[in-house]
Amino acid sequence: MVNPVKEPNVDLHDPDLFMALDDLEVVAQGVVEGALSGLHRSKYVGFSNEFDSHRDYQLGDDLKHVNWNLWSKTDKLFVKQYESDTNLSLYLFIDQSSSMLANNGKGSKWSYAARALAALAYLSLQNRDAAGVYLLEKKLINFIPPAVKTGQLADIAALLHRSEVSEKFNITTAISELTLLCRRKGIVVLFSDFFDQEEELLQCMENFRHAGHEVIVFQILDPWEVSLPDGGEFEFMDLETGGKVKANAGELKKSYDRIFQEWQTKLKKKCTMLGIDWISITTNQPLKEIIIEYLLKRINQY
Amino acid sequence: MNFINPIFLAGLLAVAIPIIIHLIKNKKIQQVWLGTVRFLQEAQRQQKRNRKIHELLLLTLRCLALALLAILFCRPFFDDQSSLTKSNSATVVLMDVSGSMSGVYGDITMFDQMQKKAQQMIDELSEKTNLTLAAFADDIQEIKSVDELKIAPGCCTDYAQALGWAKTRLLASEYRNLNIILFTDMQTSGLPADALEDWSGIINLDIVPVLPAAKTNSSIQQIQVSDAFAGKPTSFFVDLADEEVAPNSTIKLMINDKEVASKSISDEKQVEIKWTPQETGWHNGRVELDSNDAWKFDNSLYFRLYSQAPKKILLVNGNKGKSRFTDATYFIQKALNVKDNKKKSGILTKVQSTLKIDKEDLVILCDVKSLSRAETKQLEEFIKNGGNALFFLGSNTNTTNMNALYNQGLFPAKVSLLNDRSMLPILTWDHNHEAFRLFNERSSGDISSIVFSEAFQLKPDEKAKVIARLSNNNPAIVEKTLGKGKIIAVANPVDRSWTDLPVNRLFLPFVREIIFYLTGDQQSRAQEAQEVCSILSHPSPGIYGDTIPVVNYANKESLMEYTGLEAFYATLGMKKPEQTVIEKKQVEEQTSKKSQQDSEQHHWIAAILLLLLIAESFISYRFK
Repeated sequence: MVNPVKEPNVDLHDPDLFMALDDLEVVAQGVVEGALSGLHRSKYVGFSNEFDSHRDYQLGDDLKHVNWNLWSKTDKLFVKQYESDTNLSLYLFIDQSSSMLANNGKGSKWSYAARALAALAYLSLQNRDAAGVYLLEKKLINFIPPAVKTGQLADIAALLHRSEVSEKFNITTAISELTLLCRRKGIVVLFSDFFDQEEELLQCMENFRHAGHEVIVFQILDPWEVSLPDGGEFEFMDLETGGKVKANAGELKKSYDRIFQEWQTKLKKKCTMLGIDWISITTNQPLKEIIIEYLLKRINQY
Repeated sequence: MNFINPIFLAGLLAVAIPIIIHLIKNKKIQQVWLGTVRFLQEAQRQQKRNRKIHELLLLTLRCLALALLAILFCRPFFDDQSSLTKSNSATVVLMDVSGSMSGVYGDITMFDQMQKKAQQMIDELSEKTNLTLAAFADDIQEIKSVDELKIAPGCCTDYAQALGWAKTRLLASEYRNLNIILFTDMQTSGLPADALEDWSGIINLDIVPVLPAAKTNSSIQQIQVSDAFAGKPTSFFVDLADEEVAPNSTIKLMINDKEVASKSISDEKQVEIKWTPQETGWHNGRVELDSNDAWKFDNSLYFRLYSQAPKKILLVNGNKGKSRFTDATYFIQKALNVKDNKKKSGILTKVQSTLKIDKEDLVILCDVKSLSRAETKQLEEFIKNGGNALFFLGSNTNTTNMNALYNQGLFPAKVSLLNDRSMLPILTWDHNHEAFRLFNERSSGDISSIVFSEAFQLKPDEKAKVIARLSNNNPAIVEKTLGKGKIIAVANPVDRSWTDLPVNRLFLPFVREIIFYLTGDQQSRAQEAQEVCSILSHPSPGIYGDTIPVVNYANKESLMEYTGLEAFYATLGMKKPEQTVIEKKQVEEQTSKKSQQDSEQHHWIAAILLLLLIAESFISYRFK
């Protein structure tokens, strides 16, 4: 596929101070630490913050953590949970389709998504939760399974560095592979613009939801995709199909914005119905604030 | 070329504005990569649909704007409907086409003069006037244009009817300003005796006089014609109008369009012209006054005349008196030969002492004593072949001989002699009998004043009928039909021997009516009934077909007396209007023009146009 945007794998521009750095590890650390300092919290909180006393027993759990008293009352096995517990898996999916290369803001959608992914991976690892990355490409071959080992974040950053956006892949075939790879219950986070195969993607996320995963979707968008400029003659070109549309942005703006909003609202509504967290971001929004906002939301939620 | 204000040439810099707009519009198209263009394509599709609606709306607005612009240049104005009705008027133009209008007016007739005037006036009246044209004389005829006018030379004038018709037409209309224009010669004879009743004050009558140049008119007022018999001279008594007759005038008698007699006249009021018809039958004719007066329509009168063959009557004198005055046939012969200037009897009589029939129509046997066998046979054949017989019985009558005739069917009743003679009046008679029909009117006389001497008693046979009875109910006159002929027996002589009947003032009509009945008198057919011209049926005098054979002009139309304008209005019970219809129309037109200017609506149109242009600009900008 012809990639019109020169997209170096490591060129993750961001106006934010940390986002200006190429090193994803540093970026991730900066984002997370900065975000957490913004929260003024004295202790770490992470994605493992489920119910902080008990959770369902799963195969492989150490029996010493089972609450036998509760078993005697309910006839069910519950495992004692602690705030600093790290045995939760964080599955991070990133859309590698060429539409993610749209770059009319402060960077491409993919680079923005990669930074966000690294940030979340860092946060998870800091919390001693396992974090893994899966690149949604034509074939599902590039991934790092969740782990809490030293150098996990470096591996994730390296994978992202060497990756390339590719032609669209068939999500339906990938679903079964993803399901097999993500057997352990955890948190599934998807970074995508949902411009292609959105129904299939949502179906995939719904499957994860039914499998007991918590699913979070980050829709990454280019600012021009959300709203057209107020005027001017343009030739709009499709990054995936190469199709062209000549139009006056001012003439089409109103109806375009309305149609796009309707589409987005529909997606959000569907996700909400499925119990999926939906966060829509444009690339000109500061990532740090997004992270803070989301974390605050989760703290309030639990 | 010079400029008064060259400084304003700086305004030419404004030319730069469209050039700048053009350059801005031609800015280079920028290429932009997006994740997908499917939303753009959908937006374009929707916009295309919306654009069609907007373009249609814009087209409508622009068309409306252009139409309004064109209307604006026409400077439209709205007529106030109420003022329109007020300002418009309905006018009935009545044009006199009666006989008097045929008078010569200089080189042309009064009718032609009126036609010109009327056409001129109608042209002057504005198109807004609701015009009704009508020709009038004795009646009214509505027409569409003045060209349809035709003179009705035989018709009289009736102003009351014409004005009444016009009034009805006008009051039925929706207009408020109602006018009648009357073109007429103001002939006095056409005016009503009394003022017109219920004449609406809101109708204005404008009279346009068309006056004659001449003053005198010669005319034939009436013709009286004596009964006409073939071979006998017939007199035509022509009554002339009581006016001066032009010198060297001639009266001509025309029969079947050929002049058969003429007579020069000077100042006579009645002229007699004679003509002898040679054949029996109808004759179409007219009497013409050859005069140089201005009106020709009343110089002819038409008639239709029937000339009949004279009737031959044989009188058989059965009782020759000592002198001719005592002859049984003397008085009846005198009665038949009485000459009337206007009405001749047309009867030829012959008196014989014996019965010798020679092509007679009637045989009257007066006091005949007896008839020989040959006479009897001759009488029988005569009657059976259509001849008629009238018996008057008298002192010489022999009952035996009469009964012999009765037995042969030649006498209608059996006769017997009465010893006691008495004088009895005729009391009852057959009122429907043709012989007595004249006496049904009391003014013609009372038959009951006729007295008979009852010397004979008549016993009619079954085929006979009694047509008159005496006061004692005995038959006085009996009638019978034999073959084609008729027989009547009167039980009294027609001399002075018994009852002095000839002295009675009814003697003449009494015997003549019986004899005319038997001879088949045709006096009633002698002259055809006449009709007067009418504008709707026969406007000109003449002889038309069989239904209405003779039509003559209306007599009163020949009276050339005229009423002055003021007096004319006064007679009709109206006032002369201060303004003529034309003058009033001119004032109305001026008023109408002013109100038209006042009611111009261009400012409203301009305002609507402005609003339309604003709307157009807004829509075209909004949905660009």
